Amino acid sequence: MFRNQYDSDVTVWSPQGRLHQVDYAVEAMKQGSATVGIRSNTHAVLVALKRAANELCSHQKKIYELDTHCGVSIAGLLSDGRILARNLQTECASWRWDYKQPVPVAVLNERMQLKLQANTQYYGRRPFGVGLIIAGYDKDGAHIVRTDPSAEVAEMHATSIGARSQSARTYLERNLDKFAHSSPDELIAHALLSLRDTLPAEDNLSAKNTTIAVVGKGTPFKIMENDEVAPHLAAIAGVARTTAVAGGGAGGAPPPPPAPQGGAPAPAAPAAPAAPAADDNRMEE
Amino acid sequence: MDGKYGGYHTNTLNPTCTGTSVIAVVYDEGVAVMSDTVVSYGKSARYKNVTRQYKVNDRVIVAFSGDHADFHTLQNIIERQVSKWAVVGQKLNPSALYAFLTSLMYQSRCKMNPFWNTLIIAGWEDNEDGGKPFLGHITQKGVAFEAKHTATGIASHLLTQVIEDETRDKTALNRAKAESILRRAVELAIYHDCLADNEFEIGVVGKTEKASVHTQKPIIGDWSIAETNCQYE
Amino acid sequence: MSFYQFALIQMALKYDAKHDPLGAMRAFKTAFADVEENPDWRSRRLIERQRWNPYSMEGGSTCAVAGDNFVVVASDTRMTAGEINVINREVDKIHPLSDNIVLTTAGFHGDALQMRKLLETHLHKYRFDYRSNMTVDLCAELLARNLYYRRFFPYYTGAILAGIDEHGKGAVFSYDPIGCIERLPYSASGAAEPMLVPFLDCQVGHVTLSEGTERPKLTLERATALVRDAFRGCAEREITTGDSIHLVIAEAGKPIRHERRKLRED
Repeated sequence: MFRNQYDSDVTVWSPQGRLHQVDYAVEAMKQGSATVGIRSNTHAVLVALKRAANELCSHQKKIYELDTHCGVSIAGLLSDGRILARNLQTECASWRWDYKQPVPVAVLNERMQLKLQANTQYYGRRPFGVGLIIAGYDKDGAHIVRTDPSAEVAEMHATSIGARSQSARTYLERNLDKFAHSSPDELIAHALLSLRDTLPAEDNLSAKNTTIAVVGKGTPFKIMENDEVAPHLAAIAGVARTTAVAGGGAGGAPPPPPAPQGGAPAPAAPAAPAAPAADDNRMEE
Repeated sequence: MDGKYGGYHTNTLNPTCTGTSVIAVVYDEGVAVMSDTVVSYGKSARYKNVTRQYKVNDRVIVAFSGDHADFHTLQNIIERQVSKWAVVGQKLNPSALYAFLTSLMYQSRCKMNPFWNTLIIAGWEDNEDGGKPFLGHITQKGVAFEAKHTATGIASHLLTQVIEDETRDKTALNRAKAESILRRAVELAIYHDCLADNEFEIGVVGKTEKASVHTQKPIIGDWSIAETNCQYE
Repeated sequence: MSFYQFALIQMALKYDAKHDPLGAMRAFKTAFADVEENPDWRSRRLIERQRWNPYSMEGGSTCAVAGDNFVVVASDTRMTAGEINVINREVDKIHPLSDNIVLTTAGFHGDALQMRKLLETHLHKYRFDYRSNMTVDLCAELLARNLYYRRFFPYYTGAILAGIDEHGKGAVFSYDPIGCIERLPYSASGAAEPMLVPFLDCQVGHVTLSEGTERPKLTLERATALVRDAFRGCAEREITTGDSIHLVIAEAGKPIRHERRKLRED
């Protein structure tokens, strides 16, 4: 990791035009366990893989509720993430105090962007070593927003961050056209399938290490753990794992998404608008 | 602060140039607000053709009675809110503005420095089910409520009964009927309220109508009864 | 006239005008100039009297009755300005704060709104800080502290907090404006409080019932019926109470239920 003399502070540019401290923070985010966010037109779903340091340890909390209409999933330094989650909770509460309404997700994006950016510009500060996926539902519809330590905040149709998340993104990109009209359960299935792709072959998702959260029209933000996760895992258990490795070289049709609870057949998917921005060029350095 | 007035007169606790009643009615697909266009200095009609309705955006109108200068300040504050929302690509909606102004009025009351206004917030609330009309009433002291019809000032004493009679038979009003109720209210107002004027405006905001304030033809009224008053010349 | 001015004039008059006419005149002039400088209408006392009153009373009444596993909260929905003018007939003065906490108010509505917002915000934050919902006992204590925080500029809300406590029992907490708190089996506040309380004392508390009279157990049906009767009585006799009665019923393990009944509208 150690690169050169230009990484002593965030305020130091490298001759190549990079801020190494910020790049390192992005690396920290990439070491966190993976998390995936997908949205349809009416719902947004987060799933996350929880790590436990050892057998005696409980699993870390990866998804935080922010308000009745939004929540956030964290990858990277979880202690940094917790601070950001609390900050967002405060932001939600303050908007409620002012306007007696849930805060529009766009407002959260704006605040988060400003907060993250400040730490990439001022001497003596440290960028947050954490990426967030914010899921929310407001009058503009469902939202998935990805943030990273470089203060890039972007609205997404589907995204994934954390360790080996490229595999998940490969799955998401292949299935992108199905998401817009999926039911919440279908979204969860897609999200779990893509999250499963980030695991090494010997590992699998379990009710213990997986968290699911869903929010949408008529559905307040709800986090599911343990027993509540099990039925959703059962629903995808029959789908064979993709053999594709990170980078997505291997072809082969992606597995058909299961359609639990008879969700409406997806009508012809609209031309996939703005696919998840071509992955950050830093990702696979 | 603690000057020769013993620290008491630092806040203005009397209105100067005031507007009288505002009346508003919800109809099936919107809200109509009536206010006359005179600003009085005491009992004298000091300024004519002054609008007392402020179009916030095409979804919200705020009308006021009470101190005109205070309302200018409020307009300023509202304008800042509109741009605050615009920065994040949002459009200020009536219920948010209502909640915000309620807090604002209440806070200034708590500082013993009230805005000397009663505010009527009329708007169309967009939501997933096609939206609904919004009509809120906020007093100087931060008392706020939503209603199907409401009036401020002397009209709240004299005219709510008239409006209530007209709206009581739960059949939904349409815009024309709502406006005719308001015209009737103006006529009664000029008979009974010496600060009321016969030049007035009706603001409308609804599902299909974007918020707009229309100047109306003045109502002359029927003064024939005056002949029977022996002091009348 | 302030005490100071009064003393000055007394001083002036004490001069013996016969032996020292100029001295008397001088003292008089000083006193006069002082009165001119600080006229009566600028005196603290008068300004105090003319001062703007930050409170207004919107009338109405409310009450709450706790049972073994339920609590019934009732309020009228009338809002008045200055006793005689009905400004709204459909105001909700009962504020369900969570699945098991209900706040009800009757007094200055501006304070009531603020108080509701305050409690809602605290409840909202509590969920994130402690990952559980606040119990009604805690919320009651919180409300008491918030009321006392404004000891010298009180919330004039006539607040009653009701709910289901952690043992599944109905709870009613009664307050004075500055945060004195008491858990009671039933309570009432607002304009018709002097009428509601004796009625509830008799029918719910059984304290004024003559000996040998039947003392039926307080069931949910009986509680709602009593509360409705109480409000019908108040609407007859108290002018700021009327229009309709809003009942909020919380039962252990069930979602909160709302019920509305007409009252007289005149």
